[in-house]
Amino acid sequence: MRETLLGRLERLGDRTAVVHEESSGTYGELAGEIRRIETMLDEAGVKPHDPVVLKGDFSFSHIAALFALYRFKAVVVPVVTFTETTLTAVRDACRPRHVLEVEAEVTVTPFDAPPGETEDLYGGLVEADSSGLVLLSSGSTGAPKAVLHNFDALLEDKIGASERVGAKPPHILLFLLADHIGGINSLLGVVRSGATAVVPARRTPEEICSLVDRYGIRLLPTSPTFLNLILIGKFHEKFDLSSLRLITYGTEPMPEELLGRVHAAFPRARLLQTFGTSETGISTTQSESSSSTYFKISEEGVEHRIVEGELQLRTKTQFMGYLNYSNESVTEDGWFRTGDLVEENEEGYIKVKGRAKEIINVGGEKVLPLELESILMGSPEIAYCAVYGNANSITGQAVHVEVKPVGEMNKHEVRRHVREFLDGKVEPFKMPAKITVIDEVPVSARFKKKRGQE
Amino acid sequence: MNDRILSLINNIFEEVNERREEKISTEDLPSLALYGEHGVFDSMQLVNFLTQVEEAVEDEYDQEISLTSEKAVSQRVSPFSRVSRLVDFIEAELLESGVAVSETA
Repeated sequence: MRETLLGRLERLGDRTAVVHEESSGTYGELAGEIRRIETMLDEAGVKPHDPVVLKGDFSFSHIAALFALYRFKAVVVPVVTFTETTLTAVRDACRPRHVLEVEAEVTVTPFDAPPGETEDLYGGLVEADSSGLVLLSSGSTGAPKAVLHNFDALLEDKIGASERVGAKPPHILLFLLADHIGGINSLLGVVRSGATAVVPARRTPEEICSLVDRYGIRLLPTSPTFLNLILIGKFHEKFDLSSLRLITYGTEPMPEELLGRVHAAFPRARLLQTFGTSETGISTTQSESSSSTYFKISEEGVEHRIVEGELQLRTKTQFMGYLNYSNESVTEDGWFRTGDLVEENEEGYIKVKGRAKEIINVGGEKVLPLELESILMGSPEIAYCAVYGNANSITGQAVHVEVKPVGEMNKHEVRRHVREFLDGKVEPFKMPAKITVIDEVPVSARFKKKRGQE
Repeated sequence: MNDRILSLINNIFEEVNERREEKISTEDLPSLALYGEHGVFDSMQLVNFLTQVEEAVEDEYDQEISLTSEKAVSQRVSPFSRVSRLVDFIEAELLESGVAVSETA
């Protein structure tokens, strides 16, 4: 696979592989850049199975560096930006020896912390003679989890099997970030199909829509919250987005009513839910229809089961373990507990109802934020809403909703509207106790909805 | 008892009653029991009601207070036993936060 990868890139020759701001590079040039970075790694003394931080977001040289590190059998730790939390997690959990940074130039420098022994951490990779990939999974509490993958297995699964290279390569937008499982998955999808990756300079709705317009992008992998930001800003009316054939949405559950709005705004695009976790990789799915949030996981090597309402997965691309957490999220028989609460319909399609940890407990009654958000998005007056629990000393938690109205409404009008709109649609315990009005939609670094103080 | 705060609470009862089949009588509002024996609310309704009171107080005095805190719940005389006691509790909380509380509505 290490050799066939380069061979495949070289065969694609003059095809454009990456477009980033004003510059672009072909597949042939990408293969050359991979070789150049390999020489740099060699000169810097990088050894197989060494943990190496790959710093920066997707770019021509960044993508080359990722594949160079794979060919070097290194353990890649991609980090787009260092915050204090991620730096600490990387230092303590991954014990990296080197940093490969891609700015205007590619540099390889020693990591500025005395490394401990890494054999105990990466012994499994040494044994398998494979490269590794460590993804930091943002938890709402505590340090990020460092999720260790066998990178060889992931690549083999995503691009190894068969080339699916069409005559006219599509343009695919690399919307998700380079240190996210969804971003890595998008990139591998580009290479598998010999497509052109378009890397945005900024991930604002305006920038993304202008790129779709300019490059005639066919595939946009994104998140429900980001799609809503496009609708709220009416960017789909300001730019020509008719080239879009497929919009995939993942990283968080989609409120049904929002899906209806997206479907109406992009009638020609197929809407497909992607499903995955940092731990199990991304699986292709079949949505029941473009207006349905029910889907089937339709990928070979991905098994699923539902235990007490929670979705559990067992996949070929399953992670090897956490570097800094116990593996209690994996059952004794090897299934990963996703923490997603789902329901299955008669045809075997499943629907995500929310995250187990997001359940609001109101005096013993359970409220799922997504259910309320979905209902509220049915109101033409509401552009955005986020539901979460607020602690109190009487019922434990109470329901809090943040609302951005479509037009000009003061907080009294919004409160009245929310209460009247929900009246009769939900049980009394689901009625929000607190309703606040917001001007800006808060979005996490992963383009997910931010609920409360997350 | 502070009439201005009492009148805020009266307004909220009017709102609450709009959505209730069985109306709560506000004829003798100060002695109305909110929660507990003879109380008009169950615990969830109480939290929703108190949250609305918090919002109204914040709008009126520009000061955030909590009526569902451990402090509110653990008062020797419960502020939820009578509306008048809730008014007193709110007034004390506002004074403690340095808000000048005038008497007139």
